[in-house]
Amino acid sequence: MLPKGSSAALLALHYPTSIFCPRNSPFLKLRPVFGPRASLSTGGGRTGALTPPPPPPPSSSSSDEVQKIDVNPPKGTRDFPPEDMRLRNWLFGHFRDVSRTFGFEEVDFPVLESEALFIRKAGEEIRDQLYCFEDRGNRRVALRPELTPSLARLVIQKGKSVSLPLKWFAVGQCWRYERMTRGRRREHYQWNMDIIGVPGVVAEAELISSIVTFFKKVGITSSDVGFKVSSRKVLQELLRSYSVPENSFGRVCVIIDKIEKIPVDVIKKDLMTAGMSDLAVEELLQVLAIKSLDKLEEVLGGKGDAITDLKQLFFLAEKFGYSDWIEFDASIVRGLAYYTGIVFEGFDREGKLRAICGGGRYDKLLSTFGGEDLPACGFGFGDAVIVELLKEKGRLPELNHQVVSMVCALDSDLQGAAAAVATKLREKGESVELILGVKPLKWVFKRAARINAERLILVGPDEWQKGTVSVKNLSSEEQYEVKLEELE
Amino acid sequence: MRLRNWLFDHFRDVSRTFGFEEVDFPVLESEALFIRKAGEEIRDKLYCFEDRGNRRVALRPELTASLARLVIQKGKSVSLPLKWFAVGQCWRYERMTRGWRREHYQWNMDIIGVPGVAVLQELLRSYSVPENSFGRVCVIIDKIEKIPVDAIKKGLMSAGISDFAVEELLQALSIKSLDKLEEVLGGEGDAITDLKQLSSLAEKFGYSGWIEFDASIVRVLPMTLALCSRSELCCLNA
Repeated sequence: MLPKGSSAALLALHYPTSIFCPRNSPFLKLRPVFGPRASLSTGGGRTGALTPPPPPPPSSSSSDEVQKIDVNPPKGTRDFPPEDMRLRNWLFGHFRDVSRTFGFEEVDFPVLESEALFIRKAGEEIRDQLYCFEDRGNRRVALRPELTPSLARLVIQKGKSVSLPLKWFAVGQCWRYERMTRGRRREHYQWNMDIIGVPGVVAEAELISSIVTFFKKVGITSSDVGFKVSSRKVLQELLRSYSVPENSFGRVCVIIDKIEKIPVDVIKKDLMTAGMSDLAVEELLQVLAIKSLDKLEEVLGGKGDAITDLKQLFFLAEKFGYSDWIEFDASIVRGLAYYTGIVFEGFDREGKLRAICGGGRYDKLLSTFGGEDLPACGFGFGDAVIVELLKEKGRLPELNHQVVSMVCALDSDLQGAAAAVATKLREKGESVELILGVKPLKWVFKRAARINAERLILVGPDEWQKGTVSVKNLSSEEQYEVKLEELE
Repeated sequence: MRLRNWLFDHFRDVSRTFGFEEVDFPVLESEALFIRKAGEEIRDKLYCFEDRGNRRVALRPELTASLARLVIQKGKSVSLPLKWFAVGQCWRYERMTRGWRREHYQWNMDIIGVPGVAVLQELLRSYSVPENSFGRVCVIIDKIEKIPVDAIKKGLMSAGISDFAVEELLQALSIKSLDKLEEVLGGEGDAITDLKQLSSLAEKFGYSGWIEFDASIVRVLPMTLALCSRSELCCLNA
């Protein structure tokens, strides 16, 4: 909504002059290494003809006419005005602190990737909702829906130059294209932590430990949330015993992930289309209903890694100190095709919210991109559900804008003097709001209250002549004169 | 990433030291936000496309347009002046044969609600350049050290400036001293007052040794100021 009386927007363009240096592109030179499915039009450095630039707006007789522009961000996206930005920085600050506490290193990748990186043809929802398009060079690109493929790409790119294991984390924006009738977001930020090069379950245990650490940090307890844990190997073993082909595996998992969301008859039908006999489907559904590890062991028999892995995980969870946070649940498969082992999901115990986070092992992802497989596991943790959860539990922090000092000139000749005072304090690292121009004192006090300044420093002619300023402590209301040299 | 974090932390620390508040906006915006009559070069390099719903969108080439959009959206609910900063990724589309980057991060600090007069505007006014040509003229002038002077002259004349005025304007733009500029513009007019004031403030702020006057620097352009309900809402880009 535009403010009353305004004649709609047009805006100053801050034209960046020479910021782009004509040096090498930091992007990976894309070789066609993404496997048989790749329909890469990127090739290696080929440049197609550019699509023409967008046309100028229609010219009008009155050249002062200004275009009406929507003041809202694009559908499904968010602006972050100061109050929202404070919350976001608070949240991301915790993500980063926890990651560093665990000795992980931060990485990042472009938000725009080749579409081929995300095409897995396993029927995943993530693929249906891919925010892809053709760029001006007619290449198929996409705004990333997740961070893991980019991470895998970077790991392969680094090759032998990095020493394993790698412990990397990232906080990045991910996108999906969804019809706006559903009123859902098209972007969110996701915190990821990944461990590359550790085949043992201790890696998954470490990852869950980091999420538990984060929850504790923000005041969420094990009575608020928990983790449901299972292993893709359970399904693998089952499907193998029914001779379901390995390349249907991902698809089967994606179908099963929808168990609570679509009618069981549709699930059964889809599973049979994926190559399972109705007997196999029945047994599968029974197994998925198992709630105890012991029962699972009975059903599957003693052999196979699934049980060993899970038992080991629960053993380590106790040592890490988070036993009361995790439970076994055979129906957890997660919706990404590439998980191969342990999978887990954070859930709210009151059952009101969607999954808070999810992750698992993905030992075979790198080879789908043409690299050598490395054991890998990781998780994604979005910024939306956690905020809803904190709201529910009354644990959203109150964050206000804050400065230490507000500096104000009492007449226009002293603007320079006020600037000098502000500079002196800023050089010491203090946060200082300098009043720009001369404002009535009533206005100044109001603003000081709004920005929660600790003190107000007034630069007045009489004091300045003496080489002093007036300092008012805004909580105690005490005011005293201070020599400029002694100001700190 | 360590280097990037180090750099961005300094951006943020300084911004906070100056009492600015951080903001952010979507990296994807409606294409219309960046398409203006005067900004030809921005349009050529705009990383725009049609999304799956056939809407024209673009990866932002700069942050200021989004900032202005948010300021207007907030309307009366925010009290001026606003002192906002952002660190965000910006994009442009360029043929890859030139080996240039298509993205970079940019630190922005903006003050909204503190009035000021653009020096260049006054200069152009004194050469009778019509106001609605300002944007175009600024785009041309910005290329002064990058394309041959004859091309500059030709561009300026096609923007409606007489060849005599073009010569004088180019001379004025080569002025490197405030005193000389005062001679050219005459004593009246806000430009000189403002610049002298800026000079004196620079001294008080303690950075005289860092700045120098150069009339050809075209920093605020192409400028079509937000026409909102009152004139107090104008943008001063540092």
